[in-house]
Amino acid sequence: MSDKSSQFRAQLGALGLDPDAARSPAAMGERERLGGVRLPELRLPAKAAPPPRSIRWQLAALGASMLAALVIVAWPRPHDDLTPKGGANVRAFYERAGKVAPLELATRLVEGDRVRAELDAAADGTAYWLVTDPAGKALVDTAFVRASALPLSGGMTAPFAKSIQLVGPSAGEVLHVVFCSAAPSLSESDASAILRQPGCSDRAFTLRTP
Amino acid sequence: MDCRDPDNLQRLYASAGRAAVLKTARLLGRRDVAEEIVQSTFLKLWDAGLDFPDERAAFAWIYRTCHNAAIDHLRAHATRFEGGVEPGELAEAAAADDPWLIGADRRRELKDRLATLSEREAQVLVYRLVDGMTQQEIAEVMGVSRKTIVRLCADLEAKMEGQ
Repeated sequence: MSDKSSQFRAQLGALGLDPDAARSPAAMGERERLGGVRLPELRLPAKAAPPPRSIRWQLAALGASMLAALVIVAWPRPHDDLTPKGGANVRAFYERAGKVAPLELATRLVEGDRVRAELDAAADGTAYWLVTDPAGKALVDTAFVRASALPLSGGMTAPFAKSIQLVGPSAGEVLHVVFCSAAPSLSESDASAILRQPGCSDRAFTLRTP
Repeated sequence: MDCRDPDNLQRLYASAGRAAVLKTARLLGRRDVAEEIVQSTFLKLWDAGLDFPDERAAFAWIYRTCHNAAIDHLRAHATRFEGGVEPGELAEAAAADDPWLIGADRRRELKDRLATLSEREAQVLVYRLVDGMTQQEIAEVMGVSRKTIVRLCADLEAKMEGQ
């Protein structure tokens, strides 16, 4: 590494956030390189009024060639992004043609899109996801749920390692993100049992296709 | 620094955005994907409405979030980098004096290593091997104690030695 400085320290110095590092050769070199980086405009979406109780987004009514989707994110109370069962704030993204973008109100999912999610954990625990039918019956096996396990520590932000492509969009699939503060007992015969486990919350996130 | 204020967020983007793009692009070898990740990171910041004690803390959060997203992308998409030149790829030859830019061969090697590690281990490994960070710096960026990082590094070294 250049003069044994880390990239982080060199960038802090280059940005003027670390007076001790500002004049180091690494920081000066980094400052020069940063000058050559093109920065696209940051486009911030307008923030909507606070969502109605427990419902954050709804997506619906798409064309016949599109995958109609309804996304509901539980948002229990103001200042309570985290469920009483120890949950997590969840953000969803979709991936199309190799590009990842936030899944938001105006998003229209199309065939081939993949959905991914990441969590901000408030407490130690493990997150899982599974796909069910509208009645809550698991459409995946327990091995799928077990493989999705995402260990989290309080204050940590982390994504699930994989993304999910929903199949049979007209079947009304529901994608659940479940946060468990204690190790769940996973039923081999019914993966959806995790939704009813003490210490697990299925209120964090659901993505539903009508 | 209150990131609920759009002016604050735009100022933060103007000052720290280039560093975040450069850091992410160095790891991925893709400037276009790096730009997407940085945009997404700032949108998260906006959406979450975080409030930091100072700009350094805000930058540490951005650095960590881009780092994690880049590793996730690298793990999920590494095969795309295994052959040919992709649109938006960094002109690596032109950046030969960049000490933190990794080449395609090292990226492939890194991808193989990351495949055997947990999320957190992968994050620490890249902080150490690619970014050249000290344990204290990793602790600052990850928002955990140095003791935690010492333990994580020890576990990581044991795991690497066992392979």
